[in-house]
Parts: sequence; C-alpha cells; structure tokens
Amino acid sequence: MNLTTLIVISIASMLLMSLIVVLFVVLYQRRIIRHELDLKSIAEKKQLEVLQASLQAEEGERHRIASELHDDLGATLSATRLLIHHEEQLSADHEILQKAGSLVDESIQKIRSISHNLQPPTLEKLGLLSSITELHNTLNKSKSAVVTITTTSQIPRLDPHSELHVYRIIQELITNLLKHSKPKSIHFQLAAPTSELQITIKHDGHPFHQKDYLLLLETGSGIGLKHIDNRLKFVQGNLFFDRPRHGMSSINLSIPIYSKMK
Amino acid sequence: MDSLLDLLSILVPLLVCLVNIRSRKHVLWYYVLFGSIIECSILTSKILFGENNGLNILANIFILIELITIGCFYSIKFNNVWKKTILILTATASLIFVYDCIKSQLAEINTIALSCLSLLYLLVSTIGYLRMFRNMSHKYIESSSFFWFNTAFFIYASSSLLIFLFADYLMKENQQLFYYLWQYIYKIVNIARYALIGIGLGRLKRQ
Repeated sequence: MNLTTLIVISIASMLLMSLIVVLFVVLYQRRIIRHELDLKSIAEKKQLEVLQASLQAEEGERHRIASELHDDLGATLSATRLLIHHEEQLSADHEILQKAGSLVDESIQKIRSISHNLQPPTLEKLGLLSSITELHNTLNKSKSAVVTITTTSQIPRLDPHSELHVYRIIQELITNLLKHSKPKSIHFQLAAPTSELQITIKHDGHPFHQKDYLLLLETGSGIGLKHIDNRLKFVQGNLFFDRPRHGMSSINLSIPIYSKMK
Repeated sequence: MDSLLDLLSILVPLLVCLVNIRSRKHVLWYYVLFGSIIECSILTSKILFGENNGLNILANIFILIELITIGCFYSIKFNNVWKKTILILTATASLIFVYDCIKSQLAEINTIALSCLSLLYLLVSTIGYLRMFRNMSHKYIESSSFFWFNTAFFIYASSSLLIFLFADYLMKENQQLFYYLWQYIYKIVNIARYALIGIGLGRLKRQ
C-alpha cells in the first residue's frame, strides 16, 4: 500500500470518525438527560410520598383534636350547663348563674365551631358542594363579605382525601382573601364540565396576581400558599390567579376528577 | 458537478448570512460573511482570469480572520480557565501565522500552518463537546446553537486536517488525486460547515 492510498484512507477514516463522534455525542447526551430525568422523577415521587404522609398525619391529628373537643370537652361543658341550669332553679342568686350559663353556652358554641373547622362534618357525609355551601353560610353569618354560590353542572364526588384537600385549599384561599384583599362580595362558581372540577372564586377586593403567587412560592415566604401548593400537588390540580375584569378578580382552581388520586 | 460545487460554495454562505438576519450581532455571522466574500472573490477571479495564484493572499487573509473569529467565539463560550488558554493560543497562532506568511511568500497558501490551525479547531471543538456534557443545559442537544457551531468546526477540522497536512506531497506526487480530494471532500465539507453554522444561527432565534 503506497503513501497516497494511505492518505486517502486516513482522510476518509477521519471524516467517518468525526461523524461517529457527533452521533455518539447526541446519543450519549440523550442517555444522560434521560437518566437525570428518571432520577428527578424518583426524587419527586419520594417527595410526594413524604408530603402525603405528612398531610395524612396532619389531618389525622386534626380529626383527633376535633373529636376530643366535640365529644369530650363539649360533653363536659354540656353537663356543666345542665348543672348550672338545675342550680338556677334552686338558688336565689339568678343573675350570676345566668351569666355563668351564657358563658358556658358561648364556650360550647366556640368548641363546636373549632371542631367543625378542624373536621368539617358535612364533607365526609355529603361531599364538597355541601361543605362549600356550609362555608358560604358561615361567611354570610359572620358578615365578613356578601357570599354567593352557583353551580352550573352536577358536581361529582371525589375520593375523601382529595375532597378534604380541595376543601382545605378553598378554606386557605378564603382566609387569605379576607385578610389581604378585603372584598365586599365573594362569588363561588362550581362546575364539572368534562373530566375536571372547576372552582372559580370571584371577588371585588384587591387583586392578587399570578406572578406574585409564583414569586411567593419561589421565595417560600407565604406559608399558607406553600400549603396550598402541596395540596395541589397531591390532587394534581392547578391554581390560577386571573387578571381583574370589570373590577372583579378571579381565582381559578381546577382538579382532574378521573385522575389517579391517592 | 464541479461548477455546481463552486456555486454552492458561494450560495450556502450567502444564504447563511440571510438566515435569522438579527443574529448579525453574533461573531460567527461575520465569519460567514467574510467567508462568502472571499469565496465570491475567488470564483469571480477564476471566471475572469482563470487560475490566479495572486488570490491566495485573500485566502491567507481569510485564514487569519477565521482564526481570530473562531478563537473569539470559543473564548466567549468557555469559562475563565479555558478562556485565557484559548485567547493566548489564538494570539500566538495568529502571530506565528502572520510571521510565517511574511517570511515565506504571501501569495502561497501555507498548508502546514493550516493543518496546525485545523488541529487547534479540532482541540477546541472537542473541549466544546466536553463542556456540553458538563453543562447539560438542553434537554435535546440539537436545540442548542452551540452544538451546531461546534459540530461544524469539528467535522470541518477533522476532514481538512490531513488534506492540508499532505497537500504539498499530493500536489507533487498525484495532482489529480489532490484535485479530487479538494473538489469532492474539502468543498463538500466546507459547504456542510457553513450549512451547520446556518442551522446554529437559526437556533439562536428560538433560544
């Protein structure tokens, strides 16, 4: 083999080698990225599992405290109330006993309210719509704002865990709304047109923008919003703070109904 | 076939200059522009005066421009350690190239210097791939403009290295073979280089 042939073969080999290197670079980079994505997905899955365990523990604790308050302390106070009532009929000093009785009544009412807030009784039995209606009644009674509610289609039941998460999200949103936006009127709109539950909360208070929500989540300064985000991950839902239109801002919450909810 | 390749050698860089015209702020856009001007001048001269060795001065000027622009491109892309090394290498290589051209004949293409430059491009483009592996900034490597630029220089340098290195020998021993290598390998790879740079410039817009 003479030098000329060798040169030609070398040039051809170099060209071929360079093409193989480029192909290798593309395929190898894809493989690395795929591996990294797999690792990320495993980490996210684990994070979700930890989150799920922590949320379940939190809900369990709430349930336990609610039951203790309602069944134990509530019953004790009711018995005390009966005793006071009985003593009222025998004693001459009615005024003090009446005052004590009304204080006990007030305490029973507060305990009921705390207990219901910790574990909404209607949620498990009647579902999300009834619980939101109850929340709407409570808000109207408290006169914090004029609250209305409409449903445009039949609202299906989700699994109990998801319903509880959605309810907690709404509760947190309303608390934040009353605290920061100070609206005069709030309107709930519930719909389930396809395989998605859509909850819109319209209000005439100070608007809160999507970019602020994302910024607060990123900086980790909004604890309530962080809880909302964690629960949203759990139900695979989306939350969007829409731009104000005609003086009304809206918060759109969408949750897949037929997704694999845990 | 020969005239088609000559035509493509001019048309491809010209078209690349038009691709994503906003990317003219990019250093490689000027590189392609200079390339198309030089290719145009050489072809015009060939048509008007036949083979003209005097145009090798233009080719030598382009080699220097090529060296500086590619050096600048990689020094911008790389981090501090490689940045300094590449800038020093580019400056040294440019000075040696200018000195060597003046010392020998300016009208002759310095093939040894050219093969050294090809080796340098091969080195920096290999480092470019390693850097891409380390950074992993794109899910799909093809969506990165740097990948296309780097591939353009890598393929061009690896193919032209041996052609330049043995150019003098082949011109003496087998001129016909050298002509074929030049016409059908070097020119095609050169067109591919501009086309790949064009794809890279196009990707800049999407990024």
